[in-house]
Amino acid sequence: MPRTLLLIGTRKGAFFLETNDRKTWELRGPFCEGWPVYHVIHDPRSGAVYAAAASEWHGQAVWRSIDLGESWTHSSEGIAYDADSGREISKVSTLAVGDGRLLVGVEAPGIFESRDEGETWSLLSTLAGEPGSDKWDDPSNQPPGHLGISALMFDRDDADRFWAIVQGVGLFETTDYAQSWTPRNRGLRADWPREHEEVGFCVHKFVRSPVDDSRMYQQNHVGMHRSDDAGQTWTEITEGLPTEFGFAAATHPHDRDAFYVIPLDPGHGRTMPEGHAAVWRTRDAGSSWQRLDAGLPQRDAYVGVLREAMAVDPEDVPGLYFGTSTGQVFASTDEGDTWTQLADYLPPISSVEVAAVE
Amino acid sequence: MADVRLPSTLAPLFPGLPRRLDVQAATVSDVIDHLEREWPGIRDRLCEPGPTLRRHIHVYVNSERAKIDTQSPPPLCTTPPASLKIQRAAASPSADILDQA
Repeated sequence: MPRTLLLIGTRKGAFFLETNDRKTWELRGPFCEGWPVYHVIHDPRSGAVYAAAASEWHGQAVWRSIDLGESWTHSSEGIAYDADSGREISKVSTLAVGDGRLLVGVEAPGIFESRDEGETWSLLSTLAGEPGSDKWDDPSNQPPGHLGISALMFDRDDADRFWAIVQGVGLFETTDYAQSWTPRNRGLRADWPREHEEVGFCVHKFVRSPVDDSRMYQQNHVGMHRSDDAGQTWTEITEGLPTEFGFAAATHPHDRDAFYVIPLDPGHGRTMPEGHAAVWRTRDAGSSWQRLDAGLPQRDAYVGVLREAMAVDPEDVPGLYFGTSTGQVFASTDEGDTWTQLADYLPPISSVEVAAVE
Repeated sequence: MADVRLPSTLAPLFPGLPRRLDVQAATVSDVIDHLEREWPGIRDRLCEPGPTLRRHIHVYVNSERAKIDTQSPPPLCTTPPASLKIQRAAASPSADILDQA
């Protein structure tokens, strides 16, 4: 078994949980000088770790470590809109890497790219001209914070193809490296009026099966959805879950029909319903769901889990991990049947990703 | 000459950056230019595009709140050196991280 690192982004820096056997774990950190870290990823090709962070005082930057956390540098050179554009960047929120291209999604909505492993950046796209884009920067149209690019995902084989979530607007796909975009929201539900047929959906998280490129799942503001045609159309699969709301989602690495979500109370709290912690699993592509709570707190556990805070490792019997808004990290090495707590008392957790390293 | 003092949060970001240094400067912008030459990237930690000082970065020249184009009065090229202090705002805009202040 390779060494496994859980890369954890928190409100006060990044942390690593490290293991050789998925039984004994060592915590390292905090990294990134305690900046709020929204997403930490590993580039298996270069071995670098990147962290998207935004300090309330010193602005946004992407941090990089080429020695698995022993040392760090940071850069935001080029991550800026023109001063006369009227657009400001409040934070860098999500990262993706593929084929030597590093992308970061920002608020206000935009995607910046780096071709030199995070040393310098340039604006790749703001999705300008896409339906709904005229309202993205309207101050009266903002939720708390600011709308932004909340997720990015590269295609495994085609470096020019990737997907982006525009928060509160929907999922978009490009096949020509952001020269043009196509909304991918057909079949999604929205319980509010929309100006455009193709957008106006609140996509929280989408994931793609590692064994079937056509199979995607998404946790929406109002439901779980599945796609069997790589996002061109979606079918709701919420029935059987305790709520339709949540953020985190993860696919099984070897089974296209298995998928995990963490439903949350959709109100202000956005915590696990009734204080009972649980992950929910489907093994039939959403036709039925199983509640998985063995080992998770079942009393007074008012914890939330954010969109990037659940991950799966690629082992034959995969490990499943999630981090909470109250600083716990939980793990399962039997596909969710039982859980153990790996860490407690961390700062509120924004993201959890898995890195398999030699 | 300006007697420049920097916030504690900057030093870990830039190897070799002291908390206090003398800079030959006529304006706050000159000070930041000097810092950027010596420690590339530091401008982004202090300024927004424009450039203008970041909202929660406060600069004081001889104890008076300054802007990026502040020069005289008070001058930064007097003898003895003018004091220029760059500090973070005491409270961050996010209430839930006030303990970082």
